[in-house]
Amino acid sequence: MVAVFPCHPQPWDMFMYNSRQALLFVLPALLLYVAFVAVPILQVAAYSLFSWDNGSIKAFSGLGNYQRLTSDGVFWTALGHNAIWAVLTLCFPLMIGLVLASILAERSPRTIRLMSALYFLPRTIPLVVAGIIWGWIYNPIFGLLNYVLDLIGLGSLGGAWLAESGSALLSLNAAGAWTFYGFCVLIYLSAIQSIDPSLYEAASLDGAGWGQRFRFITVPLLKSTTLFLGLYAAIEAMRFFDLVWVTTQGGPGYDTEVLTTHIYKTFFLVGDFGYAAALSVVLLAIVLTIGGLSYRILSQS
Amino acid sequence: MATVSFEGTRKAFGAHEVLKGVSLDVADGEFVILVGPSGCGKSTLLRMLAGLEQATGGDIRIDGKSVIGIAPKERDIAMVFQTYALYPHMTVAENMGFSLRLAKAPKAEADQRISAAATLLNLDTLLDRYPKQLSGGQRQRVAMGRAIVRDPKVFLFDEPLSNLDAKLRVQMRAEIKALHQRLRTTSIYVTHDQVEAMTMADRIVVMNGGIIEQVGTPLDLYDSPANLFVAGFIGSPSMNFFDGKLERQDAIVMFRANGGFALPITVEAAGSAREGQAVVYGVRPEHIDFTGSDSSGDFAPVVSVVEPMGSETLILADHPGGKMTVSYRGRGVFNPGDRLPLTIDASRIHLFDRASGRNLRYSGQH
Repeated sequence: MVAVFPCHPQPWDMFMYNSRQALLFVLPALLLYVAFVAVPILQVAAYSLFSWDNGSIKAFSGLGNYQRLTSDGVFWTALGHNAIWAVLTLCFPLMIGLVLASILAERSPRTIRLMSALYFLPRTIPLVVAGIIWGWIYNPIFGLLNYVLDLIGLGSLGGAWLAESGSALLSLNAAGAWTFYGFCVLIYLSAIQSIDPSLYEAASLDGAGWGQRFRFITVPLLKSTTLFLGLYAAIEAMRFFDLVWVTTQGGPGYDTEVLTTHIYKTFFLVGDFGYAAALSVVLLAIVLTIGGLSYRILSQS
Repeated sequence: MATVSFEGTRKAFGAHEVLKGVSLDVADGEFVILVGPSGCGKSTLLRMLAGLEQATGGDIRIDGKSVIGIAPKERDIAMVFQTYALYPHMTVAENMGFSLRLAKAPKAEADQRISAAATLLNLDTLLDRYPKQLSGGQRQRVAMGRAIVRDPKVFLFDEPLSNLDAKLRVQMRAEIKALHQRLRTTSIYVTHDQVEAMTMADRIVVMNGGIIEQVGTPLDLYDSPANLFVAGFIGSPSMNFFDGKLERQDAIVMFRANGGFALPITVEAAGSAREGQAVVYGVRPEHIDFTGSDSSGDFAPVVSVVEPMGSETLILADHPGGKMTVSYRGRGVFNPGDRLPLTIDASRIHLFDRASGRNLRYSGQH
């Protein structure tokens, strides 16, 4: 398309012309987004303002469903579990990823290719399958973990990992870490490989050993990568569902209940559509807040 | 301050041998420049001295003590990198003081040393800035400051000026030389720029293909190149070469170029060369005079391009055997197509054996 202006175009005309043209290009994607993302979100937000009975709207309840949140103990327990999950993810997979990537970065290209593929493997396994694998590993009767503990003489430490309230959430988190650390290794590895190698050489000549190079060069220069992974992990920690649903479905009791399982149960098992919608809106608000925060922090750094 | 010596030092990457047994002694306080084309092994030699690459043969000694197998941090060496390698998350002061921090030097002493180096390099006002806030020349100074603060036995420079623009390079060249004159720390400097080597070095080491071609003072190399490679590498513009052989003409031995023309030689330049021997005749553009009439015979270069430099005029000319460059001191009026009235200063010419490339004046070959 060629623009023909009889005289010098005014900036406003130009802007409108460009905007119209731009709009045409994004229109197909925009239509799909509105139909499959924006409308359902608005629908859920609207549902949360009504009380429901057996799948049909009973009455307009305003913010009544949101008021119920304050007295819903399960909601607060689930939110707490999400927070614990986020903190543990920040502590372990990120740190393990960073250390492994730092060690791996100094190996030969062949080792790097092989090991990063191995580390990343768990990430490629669907979470449902990962849940089943770890369900077997944690099985109190024929599980691998108890078997290995027995083998090395620590059988007394064994137990029903996913069925005991003290260990269920932590055991699930270990499984979650297993699916996530390879991703951290890969992201950190590519970030480390983009650091000028002469910085490490200069540090070696300045008297730094491996640990000091890690502490004074690698860690500070990977700040923005850590920030990205941290915020990504935090958002994931709010959204995860599959692993819990396949293994414990939030049990025993509410010991591994998280927001998504609570919403699922409220919607599909209880049929309380209005309250499930209110819970969904709150979850969306939390995720959007973390997302907005991360966008801001990352664009600043 | 220290002496450095390489004894038959070798380095191979797999089957590819980069350094083929290099031996060199650097005296205490000397400023030695390793120069050569890309891939000649000069940077590898420097990195091996720093401990960043391991030698695959021979020995490397600092102050007479072998450093093979010793970690970089134990060698008491400071290096200025081509990319400066400043820590981007540290201020200038932190960059300069990093080695002292690692060595757990007392803060007062560290501050004093950083401040002294900063004063020496005019960095006093920049100590709180980050590298990204500095210009190329300032970064270069910080990199040197980081080296100076450590007060090492040896300074290594790996093409430190190649990222700077031409004007700044000339300025920094003088600053580095002045700094060395002041500190007198043994320094080894790598560059591919022969002008840098000529202007800064106490001694130049010309390398090519993993071996040392010649070691000498800048003027030694300029006046007495040991072979064709050094003759062509040192000097700007490069020496002119003509292929031909030695010929007797009326009881006088002359050089007869493959292009057909004859040029005068001296007994000293010919050394012990035989009549009929295939040789390369070398003469620098600045050792050709315009007053005479060598071209009255069959040597008649014709101007093809004129490059006025202000103080001199470079003339690219064609002759029957190829192309040559002539330097005219001043601003002559030359036009493409002009025939040049040249006289070659026969006392300044060099004759090289065609086969070995060796300078016949020094080879003692029969």
